[in-house]
Amino acid sequence: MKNIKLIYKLFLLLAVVFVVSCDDSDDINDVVSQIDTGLDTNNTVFFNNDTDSADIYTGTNILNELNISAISELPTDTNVVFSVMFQDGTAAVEGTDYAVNDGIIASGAQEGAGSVVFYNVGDYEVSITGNDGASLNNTPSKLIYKVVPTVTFSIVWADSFYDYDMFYLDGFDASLTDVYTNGIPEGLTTLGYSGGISNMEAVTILSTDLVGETYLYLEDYYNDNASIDVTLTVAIEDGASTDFPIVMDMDKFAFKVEGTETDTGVTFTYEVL
Amino acid sequence: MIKNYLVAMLLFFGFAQVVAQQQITGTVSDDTGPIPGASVVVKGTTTGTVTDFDGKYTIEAKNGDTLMFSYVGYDAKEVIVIGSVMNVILESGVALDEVVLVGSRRSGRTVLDSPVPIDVIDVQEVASLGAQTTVNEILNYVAPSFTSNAQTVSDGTDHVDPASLRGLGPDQVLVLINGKRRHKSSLVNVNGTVGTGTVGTDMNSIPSSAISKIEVLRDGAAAQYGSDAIAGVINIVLKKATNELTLNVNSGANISKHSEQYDEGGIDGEKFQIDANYGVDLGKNGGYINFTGSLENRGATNRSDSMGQPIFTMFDIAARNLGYDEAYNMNPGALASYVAGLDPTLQAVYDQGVANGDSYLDIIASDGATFEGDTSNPAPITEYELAQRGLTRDDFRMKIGQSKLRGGKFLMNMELPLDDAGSTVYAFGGISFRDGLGAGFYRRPAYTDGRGNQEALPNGFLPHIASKIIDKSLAAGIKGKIGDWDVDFSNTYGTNSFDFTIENTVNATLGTSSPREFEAGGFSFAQNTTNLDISKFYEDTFSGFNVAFGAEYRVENYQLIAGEEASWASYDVNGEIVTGSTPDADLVTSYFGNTVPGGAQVFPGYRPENEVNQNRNSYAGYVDLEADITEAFLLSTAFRYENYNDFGDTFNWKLASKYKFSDDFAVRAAYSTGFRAPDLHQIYFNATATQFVGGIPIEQGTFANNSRLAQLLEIPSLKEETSKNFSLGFTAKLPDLGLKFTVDGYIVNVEDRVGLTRSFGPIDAESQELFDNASATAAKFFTNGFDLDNKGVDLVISHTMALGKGNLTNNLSATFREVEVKNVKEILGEEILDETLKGYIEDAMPSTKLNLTNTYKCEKWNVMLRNVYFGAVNDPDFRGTATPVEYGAKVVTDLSASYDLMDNLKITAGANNLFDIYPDEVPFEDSQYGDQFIFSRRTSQFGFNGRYVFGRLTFTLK
Repeated sequence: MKNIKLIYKLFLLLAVVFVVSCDDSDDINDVVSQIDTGLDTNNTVFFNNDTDSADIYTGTNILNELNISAISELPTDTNVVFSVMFQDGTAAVEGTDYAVNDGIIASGAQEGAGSVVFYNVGDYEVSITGNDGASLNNTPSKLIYKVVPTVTFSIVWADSFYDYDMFYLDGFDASLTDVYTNGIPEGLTTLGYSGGISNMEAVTILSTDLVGETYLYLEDYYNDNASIDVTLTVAIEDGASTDFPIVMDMDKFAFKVEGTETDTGVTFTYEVL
Repeated sequence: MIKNYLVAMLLFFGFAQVVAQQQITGTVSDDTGPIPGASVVVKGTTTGTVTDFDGKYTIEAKNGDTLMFSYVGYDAKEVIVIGSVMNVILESGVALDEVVLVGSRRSGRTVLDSPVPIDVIDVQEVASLGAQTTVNEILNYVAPSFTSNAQTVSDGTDHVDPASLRGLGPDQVLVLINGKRRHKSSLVNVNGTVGTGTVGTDMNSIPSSAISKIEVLRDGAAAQYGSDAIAGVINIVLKKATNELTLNVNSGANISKHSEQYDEGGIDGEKFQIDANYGVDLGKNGGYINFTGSLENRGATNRSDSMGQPIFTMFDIAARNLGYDEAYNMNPGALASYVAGLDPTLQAVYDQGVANGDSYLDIIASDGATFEGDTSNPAPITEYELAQRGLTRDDFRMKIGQSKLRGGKFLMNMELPLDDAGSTVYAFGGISFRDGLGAGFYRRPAYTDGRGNQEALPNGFLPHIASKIIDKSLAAGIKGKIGDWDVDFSNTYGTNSFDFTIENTVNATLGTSSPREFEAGGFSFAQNTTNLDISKFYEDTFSGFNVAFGAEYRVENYQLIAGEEASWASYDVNGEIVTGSTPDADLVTSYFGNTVPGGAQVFPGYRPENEVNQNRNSYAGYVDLEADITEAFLLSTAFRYENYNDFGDTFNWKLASKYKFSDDFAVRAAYSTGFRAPDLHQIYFNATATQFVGGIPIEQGTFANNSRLAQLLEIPSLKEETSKNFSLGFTAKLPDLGLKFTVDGYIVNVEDRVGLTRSFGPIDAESQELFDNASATAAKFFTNGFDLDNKGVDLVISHTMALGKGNLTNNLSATFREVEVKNVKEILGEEILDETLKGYIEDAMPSTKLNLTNTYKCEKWNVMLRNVYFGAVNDPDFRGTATPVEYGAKVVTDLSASYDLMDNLKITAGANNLFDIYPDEVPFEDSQYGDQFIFSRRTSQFGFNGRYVFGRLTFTLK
């Protein structure tokens, strides 16, 4: 064929050019996965509370643990000092508004705890202000305790022969009976429980947990189904107390509370079921 | 060294051609006198010239060469060189009309004689001057009403540009090679792009250097060719050249203000392509075999800016300092408190979050103030941690632009006459292999569902999708005469496959033991078509009467192939595949409590349950009658019956007519019905992911049309789309002015269009029960869901004139169209198309497009100026919102020039998008995904790569 040698040379050129232009790189930029920088920490003590947010709702006269932790184990027993003030910056008075216990982290440990109790409703700020450890910094972070009124639900009946227990739930399920056998239905959360052997029971719930529709479920422990008169008392901390008659004839959802959040707190409407 | 070799070869070839050449002179005239501006070309070369004002020319040629003389309005003439003076007289006629194969079964029908609009694109002329080298690029810039653009961050669609004719879908245009049906791609577009839900034909698998011309029939033609020919037909006619080697070496790059990085400027998108075409004679009766090879290497472009999204969270800060495991085991309150204490800027974030009443997890995941150019208060967590790690936001950029592509293509075309009676064996086919690499969304550590796999890759990663696309085809046939009948019997086989390898990624549920690369599966599609075509031309009936009839049998196969286990599986903390009995406590969760998604990030592989291997067959018969009732009046009609084994049969017909009022003016009209069979891909494609809810596996994703959920929701089986096409237009010539016009209006109504629906979930107790019965929670389907009304006007004006010593050709094409979605069906009381999906169809492509191309040829120079006006488009993402977004009309200018260095060597240089025009930017910073999608990824009139500069060397050897 005419020009066959020229064609061979051109194919050689073609192959060479292809090799030259071939780019084997996958052109994938792989950002450095290893971190070369040093650590930027000194040992620090910080709050180690297992709550969803820094806003912690609590009630008066309830012991609140102040869990603390350090990055690494401490060589000696270390005291951690807390300060408490109102969130708006005004001073809170120890002994009047609150009581606090220092936190202690034992030697060789990372974690420890103190505690605080609030005596009055209000928004408090708790912070770490000092420690007696060596080269141990304090976290500037704070916890916000929102101390809200509580509501106490108590029941009383005449004859202690009968045993009724209280479950305060965040929802309703008509199929619930014999809770000790069947358990609480999936999707419902127990906000409060009281299950003694006397003729009275009581649960205290934070008013903020009563926003929306919540229910009191009464378990007839022995399934007497005896139609016994029970008096339910709903007492709002520093507020009204109201009695409601209930006839206990079976396991049942006995009472419904509808709470509405307002600027001044939570308001309630009640319904005997 | 390569350069020196190249120069040496150029010199050698040039010297060889100088020997034996001589100067030929003469005059070209007609019966009235000399013709200025007539073209004189040495046949089989690029050597050419034009006559001067006195009709005189001078050209280098040797004895035995053939000179071709032509001028608009005259019959072309060929004369063999004997001696040094050649005077030629041209006779007037309707010369220079292209004979076309498409649109008529009568041989020898020309463009101007056709009763329907046909564009003929000389690919070699376009490719020799323009920057566009692939078939889709050439058609996008040259053919009126054809639109095609590259996509980005769209998986396989990054490498197969969805194309549209007359604003209709990529699957509503039939593609032929040498008049034989071309198989479709195996990829069904399921991402949020133009053409979503459709299966197109991958024309980029055909090397443009193998193509002689492309005929674009802009009219419904299902009655002639069968399924898909609703918007029209594209027929690719392969080269037949022999004894001539053409070698093109093509190189270019995007040199643009946004190259490499938005607003930085530079060079990217480097492209190198080498094409060779050679043919030899076969036998002594005009047979030939022509080969084409093409190698292409295309670099990626990137138009993103620095990553503006949050990159790190407080968790990453803790993990860096304390180790991943210790940080993971810290409760959120402790972690937030600890991290806040490291730096005042971090403490400010903590305090701000506490003041807002945010949860600890929100504080940990927040990035403080948003990064919106507010340098006084940048995102503190990310900025702090970038500084600590010695990184910048540029290290986290995504790749937004053209994907990287490397490929090779080979094509063969041959004919071998068997006797002197016209019996001919023919064959054509080839193979193409393309390796594409596109990127997905950067897996930043700030993802709270753990997909960034910080335990293994503390800085996250940018996953890539590598697509291997293999295309093979072979057509063979025999044609000849049986009695007075022309008979053509052929078989065409073609297959396309996509294989996905996901690179630089992880299966996040495998943590540090995850592989970094996965075989994710793929698709294949095969089609075999057997045709028998018989025709006869009755010269003495009317002024010519052509009868054609024939049959077709077609078999198709579609396969969806599953990926390796780790590409699709979710693993629990013990490394076991998650099943219904996996306890919740064993699920891999992120620090933020979210279940970590399984499968290869960016592209979970196809699961064994998704695998498909399905066939379909169809047969068809047609009759085509075409009569020149008189010399002026042409009437044609066609009928076609087709039967598919899955959805049944369809009957379609066409009536077309043309009336020539004079040699220079004709009116044409056509009415036809058409159909498009649903693709096997649309019937059987399914891609679902599994979640476990309460121990029960729940599926979500795209469900096959024949799935249980589709049946429960009473979604009917897919059937054919039907269409009615009406077109009316005229053609006109003003030979004295060198002008040709065609104006064609059209109306296309499509019913039962197949589309991919929005995602549906249960909306009430009744539908919940249906989804529960199918163990599904969210689903999309392919369904015959809506109608389309499409109307428009196409205008083509061609003009040629002598100018100085050369010839100036001006071509103007314009298209004005409107598409409207109607009669949208509902599932569960909701329309199957939301506003975004409607937007892809109605206004994501320009409804107005004008193309003005001016080409000047003078002696050894050839200069082209092209201005293309792309009308405004609307962004589907904002359609139906309070702030719809329109991207304004733009004009893109191409300029190139070529020069014949020697008789067989031409050099071309130029630019596409000379003035570096970009589409309007996405107007809302929040919608740019942190300065990544500055230009819309949902719609683009002409892409967003900016200016492309190129150079080309063309060798022609005999």
